[in-house]
Amino acid sequence: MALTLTEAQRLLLGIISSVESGITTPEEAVTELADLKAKAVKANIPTFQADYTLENFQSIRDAYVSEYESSYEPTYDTSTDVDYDPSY
Amino acid sequence: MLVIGSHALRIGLEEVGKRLNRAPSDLDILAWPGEADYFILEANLTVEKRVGNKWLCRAPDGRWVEIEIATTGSSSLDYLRWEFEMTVSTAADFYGVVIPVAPLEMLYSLKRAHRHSPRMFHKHVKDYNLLREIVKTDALPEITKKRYQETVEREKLRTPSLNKSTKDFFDDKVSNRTFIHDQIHEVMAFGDRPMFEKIKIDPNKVACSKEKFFALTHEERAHCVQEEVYVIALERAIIPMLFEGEGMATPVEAYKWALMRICTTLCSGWFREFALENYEDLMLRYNWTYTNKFLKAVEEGRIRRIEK
Repeated sequence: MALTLTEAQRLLLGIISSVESGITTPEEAVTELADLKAKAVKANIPTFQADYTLENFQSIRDAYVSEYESSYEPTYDTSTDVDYDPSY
Repeated sequence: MLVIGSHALRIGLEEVGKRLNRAPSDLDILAWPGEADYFILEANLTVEKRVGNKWLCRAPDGRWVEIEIATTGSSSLDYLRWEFEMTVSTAADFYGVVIPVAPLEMLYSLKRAHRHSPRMFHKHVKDYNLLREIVKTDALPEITKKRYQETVEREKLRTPSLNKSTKDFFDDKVSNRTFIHDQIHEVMAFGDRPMFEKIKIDPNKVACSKEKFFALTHEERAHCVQEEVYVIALERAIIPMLFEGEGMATPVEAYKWALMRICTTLCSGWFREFALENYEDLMLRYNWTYTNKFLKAVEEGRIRRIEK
């Protein structure tokens, strides 16, 4: 069955979520995204937009690590301290 | 001088047999001007920055110490007076200086005063609800009210007016331009029809009825908020990414962000308060298949794109 726009969008969400949870690396995600975009072109889906870079995937993963994994650090590690916000 | 913030919360929780779910990072202090100078000298702090009545200092161990100076007419002055007159606080040693620690009643008041601020919301909302369960009622309502106003003014917190037509309300720069908001609600509805229809006052206005909302069961109220969260997450993060080539978003972060917006600057009054007080429950109810539910509706033609 030919790839549809919504199926391509589902696959994109899957790639992003896999990076976020650490199942795939940002580098692997870039390759997977390139494959997906090639399939979208082949299936003639010009409206599929997904111009994301390694940095985009890296920031998704970094945000997850910073928020979830570091909050369970057993030590009094200050490496994740927030920057001072002068607007406060 | 008083210790507030996470350090005070950790100490206060330990006194009632509970523990803080994180390691406190920076140290927050309320102080009279003279006391601040004394503490800086005795604790060997370095003042890095002064922003208004807040002094940001670096401690010898490299950690931040934020000192809020009590000024005339400010809530910080009221907190210091309240503590001096009303309670006997626990004291603890910080950098060689023994400082009284704000009791949980005061920490609850402080959290309550900035519970609608997006700044570090996810941390504060958990603290707020934990304190609310322990303290039950606000023992310092007038000071809380004053500090709340200070927060609103400092952070320029505003919520949109709901007394508008649906068309005017969504005619902004942030809503998606691909699908109609009410149609997204229809396809994301928990039941046959969107939950908000059960609580609307006027079918053509955005405003809803408090009485109708609280006449619903808790489950229905949670669904009502959650439906709004899914719609906002889709409309402001997922749809712009998938259909408009905008920035990358993850479904769970979009949901979390949308819930934060409902609890802070997108909604107000009883709806926002319900969302805030049930934050953890609403997070636990997160269903990761919501994006698929929406895309299935697109596939089946149950929602149509806006014609341009």
